[in-house]
Amino acid sequence: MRKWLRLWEQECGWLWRNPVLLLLPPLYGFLLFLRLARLGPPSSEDLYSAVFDFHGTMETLSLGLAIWLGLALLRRDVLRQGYEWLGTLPVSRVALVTAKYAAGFAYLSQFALLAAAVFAGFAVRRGLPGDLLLRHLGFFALQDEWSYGVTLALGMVLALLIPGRLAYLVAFCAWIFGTYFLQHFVIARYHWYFLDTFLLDPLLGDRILAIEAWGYSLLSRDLFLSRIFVAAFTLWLLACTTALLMFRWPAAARRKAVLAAAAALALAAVAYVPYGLLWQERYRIEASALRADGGDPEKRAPAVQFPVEAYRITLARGPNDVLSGTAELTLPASGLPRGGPVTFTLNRLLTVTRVQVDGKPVPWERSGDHLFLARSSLPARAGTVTVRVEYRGRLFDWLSMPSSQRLAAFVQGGDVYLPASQAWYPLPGRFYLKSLYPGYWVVSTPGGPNLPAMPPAAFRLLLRGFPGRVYATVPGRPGPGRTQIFTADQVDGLSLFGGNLTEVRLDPGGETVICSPSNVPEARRFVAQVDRARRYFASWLDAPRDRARRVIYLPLPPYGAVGDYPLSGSYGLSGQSLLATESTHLNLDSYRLVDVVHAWLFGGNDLPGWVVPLRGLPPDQIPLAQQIRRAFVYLYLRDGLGMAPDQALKLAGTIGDAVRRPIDEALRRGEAERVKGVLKAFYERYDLSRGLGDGRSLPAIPLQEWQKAWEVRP
Amino acid sequence: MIEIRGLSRRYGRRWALKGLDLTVEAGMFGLLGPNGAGKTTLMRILATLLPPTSGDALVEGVPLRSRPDEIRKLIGYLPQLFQVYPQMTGGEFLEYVALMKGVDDPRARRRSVEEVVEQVHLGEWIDRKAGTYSGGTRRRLGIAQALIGDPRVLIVDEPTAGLDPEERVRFRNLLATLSLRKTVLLSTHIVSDIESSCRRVAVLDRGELAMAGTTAELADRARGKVWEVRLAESELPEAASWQLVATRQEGSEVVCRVIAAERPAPEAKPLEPTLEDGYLALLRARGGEPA
Repeated sequence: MRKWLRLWEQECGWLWRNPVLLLLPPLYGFLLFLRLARLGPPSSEDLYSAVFDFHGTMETLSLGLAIWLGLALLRRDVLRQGYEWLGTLPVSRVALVTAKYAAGFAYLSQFALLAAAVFAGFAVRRGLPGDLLLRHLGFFALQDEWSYGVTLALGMVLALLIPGRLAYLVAFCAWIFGTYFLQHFVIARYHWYFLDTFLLDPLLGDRILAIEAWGYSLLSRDLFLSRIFVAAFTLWLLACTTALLMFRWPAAARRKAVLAAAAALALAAVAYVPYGLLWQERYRIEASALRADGGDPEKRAPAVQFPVEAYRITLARGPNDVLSGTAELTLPASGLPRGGPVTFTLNRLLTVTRVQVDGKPVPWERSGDHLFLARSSLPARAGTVTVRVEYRGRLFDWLSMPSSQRLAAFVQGGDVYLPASQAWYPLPGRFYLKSLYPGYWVVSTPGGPNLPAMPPAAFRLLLRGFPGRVYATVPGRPGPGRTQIFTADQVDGLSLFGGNLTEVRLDPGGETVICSPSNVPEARRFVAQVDRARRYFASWLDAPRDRARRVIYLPLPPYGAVGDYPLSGSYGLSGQSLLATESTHLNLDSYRLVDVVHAWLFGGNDLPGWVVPLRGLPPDQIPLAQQIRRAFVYLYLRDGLGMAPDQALKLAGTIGDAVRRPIDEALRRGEAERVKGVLKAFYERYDLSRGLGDGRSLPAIPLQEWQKAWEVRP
Repeated sequence: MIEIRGLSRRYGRRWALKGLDLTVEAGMFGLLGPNGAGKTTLMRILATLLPPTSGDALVEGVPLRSRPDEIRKLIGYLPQLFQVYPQMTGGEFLEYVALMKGVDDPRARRRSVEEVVEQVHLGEWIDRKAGTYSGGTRRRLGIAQALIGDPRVLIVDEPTAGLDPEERVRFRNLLATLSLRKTVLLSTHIVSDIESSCRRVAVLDRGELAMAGTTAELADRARGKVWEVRLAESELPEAASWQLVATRQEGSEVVCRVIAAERPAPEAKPLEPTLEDGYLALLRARGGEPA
């Protein structure tokens, strides 16, 4: 042991006395410091995400150093003729290899350590809870160490395997292959995610791990199995290094070393089996989506829907995350389709166990995401019909797309993502939850042709067996015996979110933001801004109070899949919530404030940036009603926040001169109250508060009426 | 003692050593041979750095092929090219080597280092970084590391190459002293190094053992074949066909020392052969060119 320690000390001495090597870890820490110090408005302040992105890029670069170090540790003496005396010393080859490896590993650990220290410093300053910080630090540190460990071992084996300086070229290629090439040209192209574990830096480009709300908790089994395999693989690389060294310098234990390398290879192969099985199961899930409806949007029957008055849903999570659901739908009989079966849409991963109509069991058929009831099973009478569907299954709806795996819906432990658009309860009609485009799956967006906007209905949901708090697009409260109850009237659906989430609210009746803990400082500031806006309007306008009361701020496009690429304009209303996607530049900034104000005052998804038909149109082609709506926001930005006209206009959206000029003039004269009066009159007269959903169906307001309103002097 | 039995080593298709049988007894043993004769290959095999293709060797009775790890405890090795971690001082390096050689007790280790430092006259350099050492000092450090742990067999490959005459003499004397109680295998192509310190010698040529015996026996290989011929300067080109060992100017004449089976010129005088003469005569007789 004393010999080993001295060998290790010797290697450490070389590493720590080299000025360049000495400088690199602090430089790495400093770069992370700079990155985190720059977090702030107007960009996202997601600390976790910033640290994750840094690990994805800078750590990948530092792996280049790790592979070089593996080469250098052997090439500096073992592979140099002048150091042959080393081979004649009575030192075990295992000791020599492991001491070098341990020294290199200790050196590389500085990168992980400094990154952790910088992250911890910023996290404490931003008030990230201590237990969560420790979990984050543990995740990043383990991930770093595993990456450095395997890369260093790879460098060492290449040093002995490849003669001369060619080893550097081969190592460079190995580094590029193990990071970028494997990721982009093998895994992404062929959707071979079962090779993820061979990536030297699995954080590079992974969109699920990048999400603080679910990330490593959701993929904990992947990570655990992958780490076991990588550890066994690293052991194999080290065993190969030792065996190769014994071939270079004769040793009595050479045969044993070869056997040990073979055993380590067998161990690595065995360690891969559970990891591979994990992926086999996911590909099976994806294949079931293909079987569900062929996925080809061209060959589908058109979507049909019928109204529902009310839902009463009970959803229980059982062992192994198996869900048991009971959904009672009250349907107006008059709205049911005439002729042909009555079709409901329920996620294919949920198996229907029983269907009752008005309390009597009826036969049903299931095909993919669809549940068919014979029309004759439902009474042909006026009034309402109650359809009760019982179902169960494990919902871990995995899909692949180029460069990223995705989850359309899941329940795993406390991690919950159940968007209404993935039919975790029966949706009334024949809809298509996903479409297969050449090469990848697309999750249907609510309001689109595959999944039209759901007619409003009353909801009552009882959740049971979920270990953590679950948030929904409607308000909820704790029920008896660790249950949670959610109720709402006239909402288009119910989506559930659970995981590493927190609720940010400043005033008891104020705006709420549901986000992951790293976004809390940004969310607090945003909530304060929204509360201020609400107070501003409440003093003179009788706007609906329950709309957009909460913002669900998560890195997924509204109703999209976890792991999707963030899309521009990714926000929308659902229930009483505004779903806002999160990325570096799609965050809780002034644009999002405008969205919330707009959604609250006018409802629907016709937000300034959302109304696709109106985007980029010249002012004279934008309906006057829409311009007047924007004028409300414009007024707030100018009068409430004191913004300059240009800046306010940029945020509020295009407003024609005819609408804007009288407002500007009144404001210039200090007559903000007059502007409020005019706008309020239009708001009430044309019922601008109703959620219309599409700018083109806005009420027609004659321009003369607008002009006339300004002629009246107060 | 080293007993070599049928030792061979092949690199690709080329045999660097072919069926070598040789016994190296205690004391100083010289290994001579031209470049490419297989000296360094043999030294590296004996130093456990290279596995033989076939054959075996017993080092102090320990078989090389099956127990190389044990042999490492018995030998000290100075390679032809010796480098050392430049950031370490000589003292740190020797302590490091001593520990690797199993001198666990710190006091014993320090004593061991002091002894070898004294032996190789490295005292004034011992606290300086090895990266600042001259070639000679570095080789002294090399022999010091080989001596650490008091090995029973010392294998030194071209130890005097690149040293100034004074250093060379000092080195030869040191090796001669060490050979009193160890087996010292000295490989060189500088015949005078062997002449002055070795009692027994072996000559390798193209991977084969050309001769093994005492230095006198090697010198005897040239007995009756060494001549002194005096030539006028203008006649010197005639000597191009002779195997000249040495030439020197004396007045208007050039005195040539020639190896030839028969008297090269009528006025040639026979001379007493030296070791170098014997070595050259041996290689000439084998049809090879000495280095």
